[in-house]
Amino acid sequence: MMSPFPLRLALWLIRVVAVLVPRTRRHAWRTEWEAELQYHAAYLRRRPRRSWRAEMDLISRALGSLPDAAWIRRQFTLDAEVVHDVVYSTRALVKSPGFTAVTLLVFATGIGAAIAIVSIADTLFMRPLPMPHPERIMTIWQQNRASGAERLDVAPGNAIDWLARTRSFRHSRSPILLRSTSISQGASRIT
Amino acid sequence: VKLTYPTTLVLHALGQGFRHGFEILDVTGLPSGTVYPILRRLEREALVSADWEDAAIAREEQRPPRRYYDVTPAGQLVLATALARYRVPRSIAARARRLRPAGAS
Repeated sequence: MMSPFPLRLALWLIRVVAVLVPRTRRHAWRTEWEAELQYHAAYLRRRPRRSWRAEMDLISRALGSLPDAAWIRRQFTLDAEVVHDVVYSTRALVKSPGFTAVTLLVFATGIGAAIAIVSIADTLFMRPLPMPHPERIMTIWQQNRASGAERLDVAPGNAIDWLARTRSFRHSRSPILLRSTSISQGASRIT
Repeated sequence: VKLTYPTTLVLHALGQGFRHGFEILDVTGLPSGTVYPILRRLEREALVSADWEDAAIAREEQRPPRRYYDVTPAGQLVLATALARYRVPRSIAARARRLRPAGAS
């Protein structure tokens, strides 16, 4: 007699391996394997003497379903039109290395430039500044009326004095000097 | 078709009337992971045809229907070429005589 465990394990293996088989062929594939295993198990059950080797053979046979499923999967994948296109393109590229090199260079430059532009735009325009209330950050400059020079840097001491005297900042928390020309009102962190 | 030695053994077993996958394993002594891909390839090349067992038989034995394979006329020609190239060992021929195909009377 044969215990039901090896058959159960073998059928479980088939269920697991069936995932590899393309959906269109999976049902037929599984039916074939399950039928063979059950037929063989029934044959072993009819035998008068129990043999662990025969039981292990059932599992070993079930393990053979893996290369079978892999073979079917490979055929299915290699038959796909897109795979033919990829193989054809690869062969064409290998045949003309100069053209391939120039193409790769153009692609690399284009991709690199695009990434650089997007990174800069992201940092400058899209991400908020890494501090609380970034909308309250401002820059102040000074103007020299005698020379007509505009947008001159402000000395830190001057900036602090102006802020203290200006009513615009009176209702805000005390501003913090970031650089000589940039101040942040109520910022808890200076970067 | 790629005529390897295992392919020859599988075709030979089918020619002897062993029509189910596991029967072919028993006759040839090849592992299932070798026999089934060979059967798929032979079927794809139309050297072997496949069909399902009668559902009534499967129902009676309380299992799914088995699949059986047959050598096509084109497959017979390939088998003849293969047997001219490779020699089937006596042990396999003797095993084929000892094991009776399921469909044989």
